[in-house]
Amino acid sequence: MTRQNNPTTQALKREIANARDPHIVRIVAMVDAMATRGPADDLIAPLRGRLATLRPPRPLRFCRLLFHPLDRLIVPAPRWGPDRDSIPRTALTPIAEHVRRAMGTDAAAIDVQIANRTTADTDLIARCGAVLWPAAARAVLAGPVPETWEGTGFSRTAYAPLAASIAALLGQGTAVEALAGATANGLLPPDGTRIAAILAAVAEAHVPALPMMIAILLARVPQSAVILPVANTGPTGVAVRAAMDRAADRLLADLDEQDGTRASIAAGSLGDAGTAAGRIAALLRQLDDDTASPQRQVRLREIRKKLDADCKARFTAGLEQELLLPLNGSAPPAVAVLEAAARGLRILETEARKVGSGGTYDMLLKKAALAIGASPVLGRLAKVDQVRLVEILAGPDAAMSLLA
Amino acid sequence: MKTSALPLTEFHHPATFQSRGVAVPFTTPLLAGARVRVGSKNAPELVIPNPSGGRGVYIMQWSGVRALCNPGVHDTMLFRRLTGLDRIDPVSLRQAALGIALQGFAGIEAAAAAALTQTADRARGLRAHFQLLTALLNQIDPASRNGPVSIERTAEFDRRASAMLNRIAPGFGCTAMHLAAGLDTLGDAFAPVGIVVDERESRIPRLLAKLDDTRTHIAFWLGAGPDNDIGGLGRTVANAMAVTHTLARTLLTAARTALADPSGLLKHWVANPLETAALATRCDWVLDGWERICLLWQRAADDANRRAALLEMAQVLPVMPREVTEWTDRPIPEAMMDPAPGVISQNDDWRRGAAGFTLIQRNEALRAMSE
Repeated sequence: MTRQNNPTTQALKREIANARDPHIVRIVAMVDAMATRGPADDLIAPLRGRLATLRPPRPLRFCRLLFHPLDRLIVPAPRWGPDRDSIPRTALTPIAEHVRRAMGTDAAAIDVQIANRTTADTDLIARCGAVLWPAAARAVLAGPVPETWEGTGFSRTAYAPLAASIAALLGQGTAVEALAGATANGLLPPDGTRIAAILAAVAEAHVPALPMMIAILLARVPQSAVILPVANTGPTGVAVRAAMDRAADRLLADLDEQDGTRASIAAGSLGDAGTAAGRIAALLRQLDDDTASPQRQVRLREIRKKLDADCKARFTAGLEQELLLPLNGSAPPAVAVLEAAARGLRILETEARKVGSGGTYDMLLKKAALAIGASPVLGRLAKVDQVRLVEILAGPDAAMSLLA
Repeated sequence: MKTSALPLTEFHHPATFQSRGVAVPFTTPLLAGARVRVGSKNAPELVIPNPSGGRGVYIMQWSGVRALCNPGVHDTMLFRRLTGLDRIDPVSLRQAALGIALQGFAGIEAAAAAALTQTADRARGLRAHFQLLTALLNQIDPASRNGPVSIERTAEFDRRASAMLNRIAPGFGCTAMHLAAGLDTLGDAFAPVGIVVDERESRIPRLLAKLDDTRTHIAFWLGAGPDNDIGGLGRTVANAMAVTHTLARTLLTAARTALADPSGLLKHWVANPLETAALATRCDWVLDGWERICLLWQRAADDANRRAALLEMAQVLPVMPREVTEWTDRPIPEAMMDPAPGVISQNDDWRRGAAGFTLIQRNEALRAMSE
């Protein structure tokens, strides 16, 4: 009998698949902490979909830290190709092992610093990344094809150009972190001089990596789109403009795929979905300027429609499953969880209105507020909790009317 | 920017702390840094920093606030309570805010924190009363000069204290009951300062430590990288913190010095109760508004958030009224009287829309972290 067919394993899998969210986060944390995961990976396999939604912080490993600046470029191996401006997931471990060997004790020192820390520790990522990324850029360029490259499923000739791109991008990892940090979470406009310097450095290191760097910049700091066309007027200006076009097309192609926008909107909490919707909407706005070709404008319209539909679907499901069901369920409702759901719904709705009509949201929010304000709910919620939920969903005036 | 039609007062250079107003812990993002003071016809009026981050303040009644934003239920309930206060000062406003938080209008965490704070306040108040009475007894009653009267309040202690008050009351020109009331009032007023020399557990010493810690962290962070400061905002904030810390420390020392002579303090209270209690509350006035600023910094977990925090902190830096020179005999830098730096901000969009919901939640978390 194989492990997969073992009735005990099957029963355990079923139990895990039906576990509540906090338990799932704990189970995954335990599996993440195992030195050798083996069968445990099979057990959490059915959770991958829900993990994408929960997005718990993951342990900060050497490989995860190394590719942190390039995270948005990583794709499953079957979707990778030399001209796809991306990095195949199967290449990460061989390259990380190669970098680790080349860095020797410096790599061990980083391991010590990140031990038992998670991806939520952004300060540590920036600090350790400042040491790791430039060193890794040099190591990737200098070394031969990694010994374990065969495991990637790609030919040895695929390594050199990919390594050159990765090295060029990692070389600017710290600069991109600094650029994003300097905007103070988008409160300040990005610094054009810094952007120009990053692009010039990438162009000098490996021109084919430019579209990937631009994709990183657009995803990380969407306001860069305004600055990018004028950021580089030097000898690499033509290459930068061409790369920008290519990067924009690549980003739009990713969003235009079957589950392009849905994957972003379905992931994380409702608030995360709202943030993702806002980021995509901002990116679409930035790419929809006077210079956009008619084909691009058509594509932008299509993506907006998809985004609008995905937002409405997530909102409707979220309202039902994360707010109304717990509110009316048999267990006592957890007020903090309900408030988080209500807040997430409003964040999603506010961002979604930027790409679509608001009528559906108005109607659903009004219905939810009425349901919460109705007297049967009062037996399950304290008056003040009822008031606060209505305030989040329908605004202070509706909430004050409950107190009148 | 929807606020352009409102009348903006270009400069706000209050001469006194009363005219500066008291910081109100509103949770509506556009009301950040708002202060309340007694306006015309004795009604409370609000002083609200220009939400765009530019210079100037809005001075308005509550009814006018809706032209600026739609205040949340917590803020409306808090303002209603403020209108019923006999006086507007940091102590009474803090009590009002705790009361509203306790009702749950700032969320369950803030309600739980408010309950703990009120319990701690009561315990510290009782301790302060006892310590003040003990100090007075030690000072006046020769029989107790061999050491502290008691380490806890007993019937014997109360008997001796009562006898002592009856004995000294004629010399103070009042009744023993009046003196007992005075000790209660002084105990309440000085409890946040701490009755015992070098005591660090009371609210004001803890707030001073928080201010000093935050200033140290900011200074360290600014020194760690030339890009960390934003057009000098970080230095402006750190300097203002340093000046405020020095002034508040001076006033704390003055209050503790007065406490070293409890008999003289009580005599002073009999002659001038308001002025005597003010010795304690001046620390609160000088530190008013700074706790939230410290908490903004403490919540920032990485460089991007620290820069965002600096931008927000700079917009709500308290102006130091000239009155402080009368309280401390210390000159204060001219910049502290108008610290509003040129905050680089394009508009107030970051406090509206989807971001507004996150900021309200953050502000409620700050309420839960406040003392």
